Amino acid sequence: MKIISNPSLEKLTDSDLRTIYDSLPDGFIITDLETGFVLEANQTACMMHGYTCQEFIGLHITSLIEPGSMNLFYEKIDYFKSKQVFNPRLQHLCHDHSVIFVEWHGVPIQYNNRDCMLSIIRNVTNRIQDENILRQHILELSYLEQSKLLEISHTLASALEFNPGLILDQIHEIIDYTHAGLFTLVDSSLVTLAMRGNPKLEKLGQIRVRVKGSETLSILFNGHRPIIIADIWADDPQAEFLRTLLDDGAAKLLTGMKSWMWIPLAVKNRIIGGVGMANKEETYFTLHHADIALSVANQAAITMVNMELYDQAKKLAIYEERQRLARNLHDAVNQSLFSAGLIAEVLPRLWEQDQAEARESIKDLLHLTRGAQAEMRSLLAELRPSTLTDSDLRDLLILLGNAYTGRTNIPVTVTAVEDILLPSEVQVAFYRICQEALFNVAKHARAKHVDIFLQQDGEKIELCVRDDGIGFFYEDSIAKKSGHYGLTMMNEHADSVGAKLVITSQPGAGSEMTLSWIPPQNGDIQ
Amino acid sequence: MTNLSLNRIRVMIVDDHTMVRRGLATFLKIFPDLELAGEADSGESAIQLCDEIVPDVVLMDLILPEMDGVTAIRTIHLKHPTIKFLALTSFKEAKLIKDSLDAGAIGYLIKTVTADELSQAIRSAHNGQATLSQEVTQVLVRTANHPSKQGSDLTERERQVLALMIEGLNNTQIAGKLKVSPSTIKSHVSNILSKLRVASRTEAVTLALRNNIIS
Repeated sequence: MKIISNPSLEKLTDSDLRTIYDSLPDGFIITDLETGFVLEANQTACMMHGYTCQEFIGLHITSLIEPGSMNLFYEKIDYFKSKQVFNPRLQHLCHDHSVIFVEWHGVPIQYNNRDCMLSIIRNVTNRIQDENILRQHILELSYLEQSKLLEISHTLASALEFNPGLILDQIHEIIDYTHAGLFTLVDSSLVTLAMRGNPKLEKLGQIRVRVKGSETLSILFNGHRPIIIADIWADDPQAEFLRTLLDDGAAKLLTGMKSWMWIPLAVKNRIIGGVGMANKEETYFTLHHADIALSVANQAAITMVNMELYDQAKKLAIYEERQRLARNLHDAVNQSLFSAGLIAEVLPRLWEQDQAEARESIKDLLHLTRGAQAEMRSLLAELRPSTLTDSDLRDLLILLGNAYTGRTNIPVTVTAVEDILLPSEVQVAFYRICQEALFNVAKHARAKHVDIFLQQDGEKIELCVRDDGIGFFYEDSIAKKSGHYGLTMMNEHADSVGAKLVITSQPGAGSEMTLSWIPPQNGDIQ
Repeated sequence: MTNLSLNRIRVMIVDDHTMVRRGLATFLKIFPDLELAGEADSGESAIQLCDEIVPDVVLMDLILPEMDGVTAIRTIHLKHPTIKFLALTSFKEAKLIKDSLDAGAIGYLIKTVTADELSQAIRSAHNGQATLSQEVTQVLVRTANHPSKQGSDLTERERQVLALMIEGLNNTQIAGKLKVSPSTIKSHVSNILSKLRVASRTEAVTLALRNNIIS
């Protein structure tokens, strides 16, 4: 076989060549292109497939190809015939029916005057298995990262309180920093909201980093991209910038550290802080780290801004509640007292003028002062919600009735059973809805008398507010949403505690509101 | 109390609180020169009743459900310029006071007024003389002395932007100076305009210079 043309090898005998071929780590096959039979093979090729050389030589080449790879094999053979190149990776079937991965490198040769292919074949099964394991591993890692990121985003999205420490803890599960700090920008200073990784640093309390000038700020913002510093002690401008920035008190953040990563926290191109991470190894942080950290940081930034808004909303809610109480004070108590004051002032003169009228006015005075007192008590009850939940519902309804009479001079009869036990939120709902119902009656009904009933029928608790006023078409009032905002509120409030609200009315026939509540059956019983 | 019985001042009461109307009605009984001409519990019914009875003086509560007292005063005043209005309320916000007086009220009384003060105010109103509660006068004087604290609610950043607006820079130039995007500046500018309650940059700059908003 004169296949090697290197002159120095010319002297080798066929037997020498045979020994060399057999000891090659790669398999070696000569296949007849016309018949497809294996004409020659080295020891490695035979052993690779679990055959002896006597068995292997003479096999049809297709009997070595795993059926799944057959199409590819024929395709590549056709290609070989025109382009003289054959280098597929095929799955081979061994003598014991096991499957191996084999890479081919085939070239055309003439062998015993026949058109043949000389092929070097290499068993790459182990490599492919390793690759698969590696790929799987990478996949798992990225799953882990993704699930961690998802977890962080859940934490950020669900927590009402922004917890910067928790964010750093969660980042640590993906990025192994030595220490890290989450900073917020307050009056041209970066101030730590949380510090992790080094107990000494954590104990330091707030670390402040002065940010001098808008230029420094824009370097820190860095076009909303992370900054990675491979070696913070190096001579490059970024490292110098960091060392200058972290002077004095903040310099201890650099002690013992080598590499650094800074992630700007920004919302709408406005920097609001950042996450700084340090590692004691050089060039620790990668672009991949930066990507992960940035996606966490972006969510954290939004949460931080939301927190600000939430705080503002809370303040606004407190303000609105205060406004509401002030309005109630004005609407009810102040009006009653003004009227009582006037009457009291003119009463002596009225007495001299007309004693019968004066007596009527004394009754008014009594109503007014009692009403104002009841009004005050119910306002105080609202200021201290425990009064609403701790008092007997009957007493609360009597309070509402008195306050109503005091304000409107319309008598209210409260017929209520005592000692009805309701969950506190249900009791508050009953109180509020009754209050709202009375308010509506006062505003629209022109009633002469109002009845409030509270009764218990088995497990069902029922509250009924009935007036003898002008009534209305309930359907119309629902359609006219704006004018009956109160009805919507009552419905929503009833729904929220699982109570049922029914309002019935006819023009000219008064109106009736029934609120009923039955303890839920599936809850505590089992 | 010179002109007894024959020329009594016919007073109408407008208040949505029944008990307040009752108190006022009782109050009117003891003054021989005053009489209750009618009662209304809303702005709409007040307008209607005025057409019917044309009272001399109306005691008008300002915060009423649906149509408010100021609107009612304005409406009735146009139709019946002879009817005198006394706003009777527990609110003393400068704007509400001004609006009521603009609408045609001749007096503004807080619901802390005594019976004698109130009766005197009714007589004055009937004679075309104004009466303001002491507290109301104070509010008006205070508002006149401190025309507006406009600009006090601007943030530090908005002040910076306003200062650059005064220098004549446009949004892009301001953005360049403050190293932020022009859209950020745009939103600052619109906040500034709304806080200063002006419609244009020029107005904002004029107001800022006139009131020394930027020191």
